[in-house]
This record gives sequence, C-alpha cells and structure tokens, in this order.
Amino acid sequence: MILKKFIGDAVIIVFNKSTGTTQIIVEPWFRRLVYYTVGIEKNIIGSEMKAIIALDRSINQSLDMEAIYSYIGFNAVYGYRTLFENIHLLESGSVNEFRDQSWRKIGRYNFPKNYNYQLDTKKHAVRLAELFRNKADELASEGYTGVFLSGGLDSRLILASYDKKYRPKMVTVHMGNHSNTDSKYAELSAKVAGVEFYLHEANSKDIIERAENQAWITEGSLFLGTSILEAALLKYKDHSFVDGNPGDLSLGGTWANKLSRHNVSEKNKYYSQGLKLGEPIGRDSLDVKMIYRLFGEERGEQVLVTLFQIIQDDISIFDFTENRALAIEYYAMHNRVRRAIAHMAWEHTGFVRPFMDDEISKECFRVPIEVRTNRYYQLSVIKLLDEDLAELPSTSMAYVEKTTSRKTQITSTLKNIGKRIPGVRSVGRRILNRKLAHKKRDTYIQINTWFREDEEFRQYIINHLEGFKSRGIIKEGIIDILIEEHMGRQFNHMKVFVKLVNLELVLKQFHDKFSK
Amino acid sequence: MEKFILMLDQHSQDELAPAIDLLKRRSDETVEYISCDGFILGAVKTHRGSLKTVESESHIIVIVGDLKSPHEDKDILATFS
Repeated sequence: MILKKFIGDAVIIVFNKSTGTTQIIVEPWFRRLVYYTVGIEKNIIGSEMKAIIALDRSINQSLDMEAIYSYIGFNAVYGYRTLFENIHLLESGSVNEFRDQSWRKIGRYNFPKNYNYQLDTKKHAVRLAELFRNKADELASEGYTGVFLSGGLDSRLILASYDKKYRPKMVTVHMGNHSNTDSKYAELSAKVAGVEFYLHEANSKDIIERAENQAWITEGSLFLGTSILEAALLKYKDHSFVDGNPGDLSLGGTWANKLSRHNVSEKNKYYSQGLKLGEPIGRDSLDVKMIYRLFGEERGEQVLVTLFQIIQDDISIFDFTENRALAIEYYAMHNRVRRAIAHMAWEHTGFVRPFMDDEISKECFRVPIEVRTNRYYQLSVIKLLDEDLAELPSTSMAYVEKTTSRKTQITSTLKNIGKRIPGVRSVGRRILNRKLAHKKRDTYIQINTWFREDEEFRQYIINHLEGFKSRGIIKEGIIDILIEEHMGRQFNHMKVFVKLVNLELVLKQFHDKFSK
Repeated sequence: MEKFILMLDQHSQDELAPAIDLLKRRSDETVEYISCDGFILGAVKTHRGSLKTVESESHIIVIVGDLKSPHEDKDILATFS
C-alpha cells in the first residue's frame, strides 16, 4: 500500500470493529514518535516511553546495549530502537497493522524516488518561493507569529516567507551571546525585517536548572543545550512558533552533508560504486578513536561494527529510492528531526515545521541535492521573497566565502600534503588538539568555557560523569583520564562529556527512577 | 502536542490512569478516553492540540495531531492507492 499524500502532522489510528484489527498510520518525517511494546497481556502504544513504562514496570529493566552504543556514538538513539529492549518505534511514514501479536508494516508514504535533473531550477525557485509565501500566509492566519532566528539562511528564509503586513505582530527568538557573529546577523535580520527580536543570553544556569526536566520531557531525543531553548521559549509562550529545522530548502541535504562530512551526491565514490553505506558514513560521522578509547581495542571494534550496521539498517529502509544520495538524505533528515527541538517546544507552545509539509517537501526533493544545498541557490529563493533580507550578511555565506577564499584553499592544500607525511601528521594533530583545547569562544553555547571557568557547572558535569562511570558501561578509569587531559588542555573532550552526561540524565530518569 | 496511550485487548480506564498521570503535566490540559471492545485510548489534550474521532458502523478512526481550526478541512488528507 502506498500512502500517496499525508497532509498534516499527525498519527491516525484505525480500528476495524468487525474484524477487531488495528492499523496505525504515522506521519512521514519523524515529527511524531509512536512507541510500542508487545506482550502476552499488554500490547501498548503511546506517544511517550514513560507512559508505557508506567503500565509495565518490567520493561525498563532490560537496556538495549545497541541503543546505548548509538547514544555514545551519535549523541542520540538512531533508528527505530529505544534505550529499552522491549520498546520500539513505528517507522515514520508507515502504515502498520497489528496481526498475530506483532506490528507489521503494510504500506509506506510516497517518498519521491529520484531528483529531477532536467528541472529548470530558476523557474522552480519561483514555484518554491510561491509555496513558501502561501504557507506563511496560512500560518500567520492561524497565529504562528514566532520564528526561531539564527544568523544563517535557513531561518531567514522562513522570516522572508512572511509578508511585510504580518511582521509588526511577529517575534523572533535567538539563543546566543552579544559577542557572537551569528547573534549579530540574527539581530540585523530582525531589524531589517521590522520584527521584534529577543536574544536569550545562553548561560550555564539554564542547563543546571533545566537539563533534568529536559531529559524527562524529550526522553533523550535532545541534548543539554536545549535546556537553554526552554528558558528562551518561556518568555514568548503566548506565541506559536515556526521552525526551520532541519535545513529548510536543503531539507535532508544539509544534514546528510554534515553527517558524512563531505558532499553527498550521486557522483560521490561511496554512492556511485554501490558500496555498503553504513561503514563509510559511520567512519565519517563518528569519532572512531574515541570509541576505541571508551571501550578498549577489542570491545571498541565490536561497538563500531554494531554502529555501522545500525546506519546500514536505517538507510536500507529507503532502498526503494533510485538514487543513493536521496536515500542518505532521508536517513539524515529522519534522524535529525527525531532529535529536533519540537518535543521541548510543544511542551509550552504551538510549534510547526512548515517546510516538511507534503507539497513543499515533495517540490524540494525534485531539485537535485547539489542545487538545493548551494547557498547561492537558497539566496535566490530568499531574494524572490524579500530582497532586503537577501542582501544581508549571514553566517552561512561567511562560511562559504571563508572556505572558498584563496588563502583557505592554499592552507587546505598544504594541510592535505602534510597529512600524508607521518611525522608532520602527528605534529599537526598535536598542534590542532591543543588549539581546540584552548579555544575560548567555542560556540554560542559556550559549554567548554563554562566547564573551565564556572565551578558550579564543572561540578554538575563531573557529578553526572561520576554517576555514569559507576554503571560499568565503558572502560574503567577512562573518564578520569579524559577529564585530566581536558583540564590539562591537551584535548577538548567536551563533546564526549556532553554525550555521557545526556545519557546519564536519561538513564537516571527512565531506568533508575522507575526501578525504585 | 497531544499525548496519548493506547492499550489493545480488554483493559479498563483505571488501568490507564498511571500512564495518563505521567502524560498530564499542566492544569490546563484535559484528558479524554475513547474505548471499544478491543481497545482503550487515553489522550491528554494541550491548548493547541487536537484529537478527532470519526465513527462509522464498521470503523473508529482517531486522529491525534495538530489540527488548526481555520483550515481544518485540509489539515489531514491521507490518500491511498
């Protein structure tokens, strides 16, 4: 069965009274998580894991180690597993029927199978701009007048979609700090668009106060920084918000490229040679060395094989596509949306991602990924909606200009030559590690700086790392070594600390708490 | 967002209560139950969320989602082939 259209952000449950069968249809983009457990006496389906655990307290006793590895590897549980062996998720965009004590997939959403390489992209940009403007009109009439604004092009596209007549009633919310370029560009966009702008200064207190609640609400689909978002949202909870995550016009493209750290395209060797994708993408998106350090050489190898298989399985869901780059886009987008901020936002206010609507997403996917991820193409669509906003500087374009400058290209060439010479490579790595360890303005969420300079925050992180250490999941003593290296400024291990603290918060809430 | 819990087979509203307690987090949220011989569904409705039920002689269809009032007719449109 092919689900040709699915307009809206919902789950449909169909009971057949005469046959007693149940069918569940899930929206296509992983915006709604539908959990289930199957047992002899209790077959439960729910929008949150906690509700299922409340009805069957035995469920949370068996942890799914593959999911734990996934969390440590990717800072999220990937695919349709959960932290618990007996709780699973129904596939997004699937039609499922409960038969013979199990859920069977009997249909799927009509995901486009290929890009249209013959498309006149200039004409198509006009069509997309028109769709975005119509959607913004609809949302404005429904009271969606809040926009999360970064300094990049994606959220600016959303702002530009709103006709000027709506803007006096609109608010834009940004998390960051006054010294950050991203924040400056966001403020400038809001000023030029004539909308109210609120900068929520990212701070460590928000994390300390809200991280536990964030883990409870999002059930591990988010990370520490989102605690700050909650604080920002509370100021404008009377508005309903529109968000561009993930990547708007580029849809899965931006995230596919980020995950694999190179441009995903049909011309890429991984995709054109028909290789299995799990391992190459895994090696690109994971910190392989850290996996070996956390688990030891032998177990680390097993963990990596498991993680590569997880990616392989997730991409295989989209084997029906005729283009492997598109399959990776879908895989990347689904995992990105699963981790996105909606679940936190829904707790306080209305929240939609308009560009994942049936019509708009299908129109976007007609455009080849190489075109859609091109920032100049995105700017051309913004220009059709609002010329003034298209003229402004953005972090995305600053990045494009930086990476295409002559100086950067020469440095990059020299680095690549150096990487091939063993002695130079190890010296280069040491210099780079120290540079990263000393980096002060890490991101707009300055977790590394707070960890080094804010005693209360450091203690919060260390206490949770100690808690995780006692679970015996990773190699004994490794956390102490990592903390020592980090504090000695030999390495910047903040990314791995954040992953382990996130995981500890979720395990505390869902494994330990229910066990008592 | 609307939060829901659904149990197949013969179960009662009372059995769902502990799950609903965890899903309901604010005082402005309301709880609604839908039941039939083979299932019981409990949903917690938020201020913007919606729960729609359509019942015919042969089917009960429950839609859990963000249905927006001015455009309700086009919010959910699922077509099959």
